[in-house]
Amino acid sequence: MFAFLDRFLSRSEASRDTAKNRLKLVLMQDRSVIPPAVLERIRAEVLAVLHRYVEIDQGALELNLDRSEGSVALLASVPIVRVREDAAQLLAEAVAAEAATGDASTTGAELAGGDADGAVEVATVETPDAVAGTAAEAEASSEPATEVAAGDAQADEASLARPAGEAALT
Amino acid sequence: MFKRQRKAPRSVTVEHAPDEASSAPALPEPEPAVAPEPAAEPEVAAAVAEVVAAAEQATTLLRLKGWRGGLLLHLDADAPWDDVLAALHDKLDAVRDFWAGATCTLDLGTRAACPDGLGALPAQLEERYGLTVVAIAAARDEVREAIGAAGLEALAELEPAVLRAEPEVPPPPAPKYVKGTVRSGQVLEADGHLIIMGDVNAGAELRAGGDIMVFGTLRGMAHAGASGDRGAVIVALNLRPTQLRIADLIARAPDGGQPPLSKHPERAEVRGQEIHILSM
Amino acid sequence: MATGRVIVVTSGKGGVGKTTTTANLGMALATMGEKVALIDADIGLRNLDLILGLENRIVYDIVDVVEKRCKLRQALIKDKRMPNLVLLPAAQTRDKSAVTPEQMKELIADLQSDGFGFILIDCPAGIEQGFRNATAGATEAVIVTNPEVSAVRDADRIVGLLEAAELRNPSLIVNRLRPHLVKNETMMSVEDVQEILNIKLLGIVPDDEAIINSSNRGEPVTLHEAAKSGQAYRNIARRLRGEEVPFLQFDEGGLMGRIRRFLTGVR
Repeated sequence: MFAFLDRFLSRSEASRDTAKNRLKLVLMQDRSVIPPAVLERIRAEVLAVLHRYVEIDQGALELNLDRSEGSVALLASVPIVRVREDAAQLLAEAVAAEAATGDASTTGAELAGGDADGAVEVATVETPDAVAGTAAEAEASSEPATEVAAGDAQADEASLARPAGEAALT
Repeated sequence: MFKRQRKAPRSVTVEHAPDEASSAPALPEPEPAVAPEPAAEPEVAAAVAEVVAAAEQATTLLRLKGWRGGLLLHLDADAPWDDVLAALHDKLDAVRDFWAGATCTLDLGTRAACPDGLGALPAQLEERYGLTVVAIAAARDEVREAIGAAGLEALAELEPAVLRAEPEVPPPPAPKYVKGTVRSGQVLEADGHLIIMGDVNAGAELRAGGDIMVFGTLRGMAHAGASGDRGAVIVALNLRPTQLRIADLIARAPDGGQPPLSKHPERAEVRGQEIHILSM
Repeated sequence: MATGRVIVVTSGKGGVGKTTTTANLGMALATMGEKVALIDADIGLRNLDLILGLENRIVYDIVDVVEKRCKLRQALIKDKRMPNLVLLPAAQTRDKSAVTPEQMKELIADLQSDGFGFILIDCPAGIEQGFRNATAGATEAVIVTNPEVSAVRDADRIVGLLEAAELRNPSLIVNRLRPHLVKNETMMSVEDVQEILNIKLLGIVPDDEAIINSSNRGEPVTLHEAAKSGQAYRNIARRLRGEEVPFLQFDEGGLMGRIRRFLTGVR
């Protein structure tokens, strides 16, 4: 009886919607075919790559599955402590390596940049099957095809500039 | 179902196990009468009783008795040995699997000579029926000597008291005493009497060869005289079972709820062909 | 050839109303003239007998049948109110491993050849052997859930497991719906649940005190004309038989409902 009054007055989100959203999220994880062990490994490898460019608060790294438009996305929230000074040089090497392999198929992902709190979100938008494929590849290859291009990475410490490149787990 | 009546005699309406089994099922044909419990033992016991009785009446070639926790086989002293052997195998074959693990003593009586092949008989009985020959009795010294020579224990004579005894009734097993609540899904079994100091909840099962006494409320299923003894009784301070069974009879609570609690302990027993509930 | 429909009633989560649903659908179908067999596959935790009020009549159970201590028809308990409804009770003193999926299949084939048009299997909660047994012989599945996060999540898991067991296109019963809670947005609506699970809706059963009463008495609520939940179960039974029946509308009448709607701004 008082529940609705409370809600009416406080104008908080209806618990019905909270329930729905939480459920959707948890079901995405339930339905996704990435076993926790693989997810953990992806986390470690993403971390290793990012670590080359930026110093990361490793304990606060979050890796989650999210869904948009019927496909599942892997969302990483990476709190950055500071950008490394030699990042620009590493970037040049990475670009050169990419050019050498001629592999340009790093679509389907973007490096969402520049949150005020210094977090970077790495997202790859894939169907569950493709994500599974990713996992399998990551498992198979000791040097996974993970590429990060951070564009003007030497910008302000607190916020990375709009991404000029793409980060993909393909 | 059983109904309690306020006036003595306190009770009635019972159903036979076979009736119950056929009225409960949905499908048309009643099944042939079947004991409510998978009662391998009572069947065999009955068969044995039959064999024993037949052996005692029909022939003097062979008499079977219970003795010293095993069997005593009196083999006719005067008939030809082959006939005696044939009679022996005949009887044992009738319920062949029953003998496994039992022991027996062969009594040759006043037979004049040790028969050929006697030495091999224990091995045969062992192999064929699982029956172990512990001793062979014979009245004559020379026969006993021959038996002893074959490596078997030879007895001079059997105690007269034992020879007169009816087929031996094994001493009743000790009552089983359980303290505490018997809960749904639990099964308590006892060869003899079963005494519960506590409640027996619905969904629990008690099964006893003898009587069942519950010092508490009996709400579950109780089966007394499970090996066929219709003389068994079920007693409880509060008798509110889902089902009672005594030997092959089944009674169940009336549809539409239990009658009010009795202020007295009650006893269920068989009268005629029915389970009755009586106030104590 | 056997044509009886074999429907497993399952949920994953316990306590959502599988047993009540099984009892009521069985009873409703029998009332409509179908020859119905209910199988309680929840060995060790039998309850279907209680909900149907047949607990006193159990002499043999499903384990006695598979262990060949009695014939199948000896173990079937005919409902006292509805002679074309029978129950095959679970054993209470054994566990799920007492029956194998193969034995379930055999049993169901026997029931089919005995002419049962509907065989409903009350599945135990969980996804272990009890679930595998209950689904083994089924050709259709009904998933019962509540408009509540844990029940829906488990239902989703069950949809996946059923697919793996070749039981495709399960249908959904949303049980224990409380319309006024949906109205004031504190409970997920049927549409919400359906949107998430994305399977065919078979029926909606409102939360109803009459169910508690009927369980207490061992009389399925569908026997009571007046009860809203009973009506819902009868509708579901008709849909199972292939009829088109509109879903019940749960309008909240009365002063309280109007005040609540006014206060919460829900039209």
